Amino acid sequence: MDIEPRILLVDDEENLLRSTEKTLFREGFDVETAAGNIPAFELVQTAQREGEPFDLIILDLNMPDFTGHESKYAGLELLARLKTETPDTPVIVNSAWDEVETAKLCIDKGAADYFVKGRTDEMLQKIRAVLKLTE
Amino acid sequence: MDPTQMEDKVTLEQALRRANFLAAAAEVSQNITQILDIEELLPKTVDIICDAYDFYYAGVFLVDEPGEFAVLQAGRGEPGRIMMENHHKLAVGGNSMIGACTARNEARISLDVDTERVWYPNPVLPDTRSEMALPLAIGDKVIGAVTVQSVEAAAFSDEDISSLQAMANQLAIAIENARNRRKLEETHAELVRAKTFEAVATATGDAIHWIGNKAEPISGSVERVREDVQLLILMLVNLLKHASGEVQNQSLPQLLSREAAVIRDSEPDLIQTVDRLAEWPLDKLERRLSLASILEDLEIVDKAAALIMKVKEELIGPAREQAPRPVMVDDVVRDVITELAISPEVITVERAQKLPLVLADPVQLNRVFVNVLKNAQEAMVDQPDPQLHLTLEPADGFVRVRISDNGPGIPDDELDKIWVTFHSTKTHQGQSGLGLPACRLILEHIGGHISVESQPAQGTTVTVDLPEYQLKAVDTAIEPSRGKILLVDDDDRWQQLAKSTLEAAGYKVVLSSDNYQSGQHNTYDLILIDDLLSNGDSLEILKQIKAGGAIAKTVVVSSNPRVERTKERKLLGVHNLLPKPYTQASLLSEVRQAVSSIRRGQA
Repeated sequence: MDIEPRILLVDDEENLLRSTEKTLFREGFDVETAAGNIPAFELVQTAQREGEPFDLIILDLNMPDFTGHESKYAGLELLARLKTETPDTPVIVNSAWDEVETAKLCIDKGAADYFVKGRTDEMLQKIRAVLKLTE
Repeated sequence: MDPTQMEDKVTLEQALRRANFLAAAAEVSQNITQILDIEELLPKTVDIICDAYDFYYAGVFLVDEPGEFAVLQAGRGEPGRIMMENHHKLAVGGNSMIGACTARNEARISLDVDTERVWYPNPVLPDTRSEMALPLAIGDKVIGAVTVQSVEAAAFSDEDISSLQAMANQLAIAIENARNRRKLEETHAELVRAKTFEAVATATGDAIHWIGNKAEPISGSVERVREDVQLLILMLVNLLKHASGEVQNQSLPQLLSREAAVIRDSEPDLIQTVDRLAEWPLDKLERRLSLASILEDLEIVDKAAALIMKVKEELIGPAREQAPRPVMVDDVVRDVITELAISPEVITVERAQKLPLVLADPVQLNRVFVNVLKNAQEAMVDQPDPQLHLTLEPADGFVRVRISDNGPGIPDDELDKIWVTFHSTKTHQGQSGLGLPACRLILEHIGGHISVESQPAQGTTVTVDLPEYQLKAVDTAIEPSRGKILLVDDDDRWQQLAKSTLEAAGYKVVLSSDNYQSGQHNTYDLILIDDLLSNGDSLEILKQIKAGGAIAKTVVVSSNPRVERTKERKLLGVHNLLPKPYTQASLLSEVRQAVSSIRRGQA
């Protein structure tokens, strides 16, 4: 693997964010992190401007929204903005909820895929599938 | 008496009787419509009927669910009690008067039972001469019957029958109302159960979600640390292949190469990773395989475990058994302020002159104030001039503590949610949202309460009401030997509590704030001295007591029994140390033991 795919990881659970970042790094990804909608969107815009757009964005559902307040579906607001700002960048949503309805909702809103937090193998498999990578 | 007078008399008697019945009917109607509990309603009804009409027996039957039997529900006096005990019941449609009455929805009257063709004497009601069975019906539906019995023949006039039937109709409605109400209550209880279950299910779901989120990083970190350690060993062994024979013959390289063999067996994939990493530049390798990375992963595990333990503490906290005892709220509050290191520039405490003791578990109470004050602190994080204001004052059987902050306040629509377990799951890192619900549980358990008012942009005020401690009457009978006790304490409330407890138990108590005079000691059986007198250390007084020769009958009451302090006092020769706060029971048992053992020592 010559060029490492760039991934933006968005989650407000600090410990979890760092842990997932390390996992992805070890799997050969170049990872940046953000703890909510506002910093995440700023990073995406900066990356666009500097000509180094992300190859994939992974975001949590329940986190601080664009007003900075905790919201159950803040991730969907971010997803909606990303769909207009960087329509070509795939977005994978993850959350702690293992519910078909939630997954369906995210896909309907334009997510490339959905996985339940804590399932590392499933996460890696879905990332590779979306990025069309082979192991 | 001429016939006209006779007629007048009869008319007058009838009129009186009629008036009496009307009064009784009114009383029954009034009473029975007020009673909504069938178990209470029916016995009362039979009593009212018997008293008003001077019948010797009345009973109420209700038809059972399948409509087969009329079952006795209440009966007057001893016969009633016996028949209730025997579960007296009569078949609907059977040969009894009740049976016929309930089957046909009509009154049955026997004015002289001796002349009845079909009448079965009841062994517990041998004196019955007249009997009447009146249906209890709601429209066409017969729900039961009333029986009234008299020792006189021809006891019922037509008027009696119609007024009793009117009463029976009222009774039927009252029974139906009571039944409907019970059904409603059952439905309501069912609804409450369903709601409770839903709430528990939601809270459980949230708890699982929360704990899952906190626990999630652990496995990843453990996996990484394991892999890193294995990689380091493999890489080290590879490196050592280039070392001199002398080095290779040392024990560590031999151990490592043995370990490496085990790793290669169990994790063959790692060999490729080792080869790949060997080609990486230092900066890249550093990010992947540094001691710092391993330590960070251990840190992640540590943090996750701590967060889970915190939630566990908060979950079991309120469930933990409480041991309520008299507590000085101001002490607890002062401790919490110290514990949280709240600066005096931020906090003002206003305390009423006379503050009663409260009844609470000091540990649990501490949790409550830690929680409330922490919330207030967090609310004021962005406030340039944070101000916390506390007031402590007596409030009608309670001690009221108000904690006001000048944070951003809580919006109206959020205010209800603060009582919901796990509500603030992630608002602040590490906050589980268990705090306030737990506080409420703790306070409700001891009969106190907590409420929150908030004005957006002005701040939030939390009000905690704690029940005042009521002095218990102490059982003096169990006190075999009394004595005279000198009580040295400068806190009024403790002094009063101890004094009244000991006096109620038959001791003579002399109070002293600090003026212990040597030479007096021989007149006391026991000296109780507070360890932390505000105007000086108790040590000086203890030394005086020792000089006076009374140290062996001294018990030190200490709210801060640290090891060093305790040892010092023990070395001085005091009889014992009693930790404060104490309950009345623990004080009495300590004093009782101390007095008897001191007396034994003297004897």
